[in-house]
Amino acid sequence: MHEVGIMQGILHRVFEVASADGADKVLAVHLQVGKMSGVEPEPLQFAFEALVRGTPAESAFLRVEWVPVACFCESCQREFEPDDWIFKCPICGEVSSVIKRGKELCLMAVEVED
Amino acid sequence: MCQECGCGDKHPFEIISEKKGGGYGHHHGHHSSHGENHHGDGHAHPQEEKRSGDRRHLDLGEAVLSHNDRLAERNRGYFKAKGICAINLLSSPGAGKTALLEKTLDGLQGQLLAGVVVGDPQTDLDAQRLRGRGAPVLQVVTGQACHLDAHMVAHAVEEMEEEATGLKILFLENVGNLVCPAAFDLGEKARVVLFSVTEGEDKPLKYPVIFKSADLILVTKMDLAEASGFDEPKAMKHLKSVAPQARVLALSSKTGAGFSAWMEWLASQQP
Repeated sequence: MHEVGIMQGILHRVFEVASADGADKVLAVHLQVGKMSGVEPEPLQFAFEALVRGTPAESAFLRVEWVPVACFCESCQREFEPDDWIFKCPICGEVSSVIKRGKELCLMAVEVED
Repeated sequence: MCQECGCGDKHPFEIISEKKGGGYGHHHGHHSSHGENHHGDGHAHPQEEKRSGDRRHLDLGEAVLSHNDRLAERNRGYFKAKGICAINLLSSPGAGKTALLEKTLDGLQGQLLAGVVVGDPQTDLDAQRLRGRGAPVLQVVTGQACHLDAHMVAHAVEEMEEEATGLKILFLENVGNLVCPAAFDLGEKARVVLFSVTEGEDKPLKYPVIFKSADLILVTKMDLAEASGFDEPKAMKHLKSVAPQARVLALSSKTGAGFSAWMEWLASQQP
């Protein structure tokens, strides 16, 4: 459940941004989360709902863009999206350790209102 | 208010050293080795702002772990400047991290000064086991936190400083957990993930993220391999497919079998 700690950090930044903008209310929080970030959808949503209670983000939506894993096969010199956690190139079958995307954990945007 | 890391008057964690026991208070104005403020300026700098009535969309595009990552980079710079090789040890609870360190510290004693920062949600039992082996040992009681983070490590290292002159290796024994610690960079040079034979050959398939983050994987408790029906070729196949980037060594901290390869790997990590 490290999602609670991560969400605390996210909301801290959200309120900082909202307050600097002079907004009273947060309407939505947009995140980009990679499948390899170590963050899971359900605990993240749970943490968000639990932590926004009694805050200016109480009625805000959490919008998450999930980023699939993308690897690079050095033999074939091409990028591919693996189907599971064994990052096997669909062309040559070699297992890749070059990860191009999927580790993201970003606060993309905040929607606010006065 | 701590000027360096921006933490409040009280930490959510506690650091227990041998000399003063529990109750880590707070050190102020004593961070000279860590340099300037860890925080940014604390103000929002939205790159773009689209106004439509009262409703505004503020674009940020910033990494969520940036605070931890900044502290981790600071730790990394500190370790590099001091010539300390920091090793993050991760595994499920009971996979043999402390047993590995007991034997490792015994082997290093008199040769290379090593130190340990060990994290557990409660108690300093692990630190007690590791003391008396020629190495400074600090226990971080993480409380509710299921992992070590760069902030805890920075404070523990600061606490250790006076007894750690000439420190060459710093082991960061993480909280036993195969999920959360993977997401937190501590500023380590290398990540070692332990996987004991009693956990079953499928462990790497079940917890791929942490195994994929490893530089070295240690298959531990090899003395129990036969008794627990451990299928070593199958486990190795799983490790190779999930973590092709990692080197894999099998050992027993109890009998010492395979231990020399681990000690050689440790020596190879020295700057």
